[in-house]
Amino acid sequence: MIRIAAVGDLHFDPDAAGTVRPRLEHLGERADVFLVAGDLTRLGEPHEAKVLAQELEGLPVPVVAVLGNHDYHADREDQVREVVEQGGITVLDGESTVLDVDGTRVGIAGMKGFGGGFAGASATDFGEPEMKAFVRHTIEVAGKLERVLRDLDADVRVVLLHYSPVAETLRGEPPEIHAFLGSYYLAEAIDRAGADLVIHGHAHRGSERGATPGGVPVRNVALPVIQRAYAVYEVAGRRAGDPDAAVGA
Amino acid sequence: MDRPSDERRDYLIARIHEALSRDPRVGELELEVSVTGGTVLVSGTVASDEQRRAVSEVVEELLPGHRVANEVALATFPETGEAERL
Repeated sequence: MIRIAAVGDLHFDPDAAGTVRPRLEHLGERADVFLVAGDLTRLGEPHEAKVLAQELEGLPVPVVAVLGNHDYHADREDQVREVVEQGGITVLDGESTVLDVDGTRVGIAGMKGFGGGFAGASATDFGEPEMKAFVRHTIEVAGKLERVLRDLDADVRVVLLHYSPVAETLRGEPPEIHAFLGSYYLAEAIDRAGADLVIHGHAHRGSERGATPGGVPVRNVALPVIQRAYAVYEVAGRRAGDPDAAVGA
Repeated sequence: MDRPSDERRDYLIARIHEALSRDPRVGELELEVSVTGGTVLVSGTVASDEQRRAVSEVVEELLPGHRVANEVALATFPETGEAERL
């Protein structure tokens, strides 16, 4: 059984220094890996990212993150990523990483994702160039996610996003803004390639629990949603080629 | 309240939202805003005391004379909760 701790939307800046680390005191006893689901910073400034990187440095478990829309606000997302990685955190942007947890290969495919909406209420690749560019960006990143996930050879497969792949974890948000909070294209990619768990943030007024149409559990770990320093999910993955064999004790 | 007033209130709420997201002192998109008479109620969560105070400053600067009911909370939550087995 792999224990995955996760939180999103820390929105860190220098004024928040010292507010997170004391609440991670028992992380090593409770989890095998710590995932951060985007919006590491408030305004996307590298100096904000540095404060968070210092806050998370030297944790007893590997830390894997994706960026969120806030991390792009200053157009300095590459520097934000660089600063965070200097703190020993793995940042995924259409990439994957595989961690060895007591002999179990825990694969994480991560990216920010994007919006577009959900079945019956989604933007379509039609009309003005601006609208087509918006939707095509989502289609492109979802395609990338599917490719990364298909290539991910691991016993436990986790998808880490900022945007939501399903409307279910947006319950509580005004339906009018769902199209800005996620896209069904992400869920479709996940269902095609397969995964054990999807983690996302972004929707502060949403709900924690949902699932893709294909049955993959989806958890919205935005800090205001989970109302705790991090959520922990225990996942029993399956060995490749042996769909009935649960992994771990 | 008649329809034009409702419309004006909608525009007001939109302007407050815009200010709270664009002003670098706050920079939050997901704060909830409502306007009743001369009172602006803002709720949601932010990461620091400074940011919480800035919510009131930004609204007061945008709408002098309005009262601000700042119900924004700090997103400092405890390290608690049982693990969920999937």
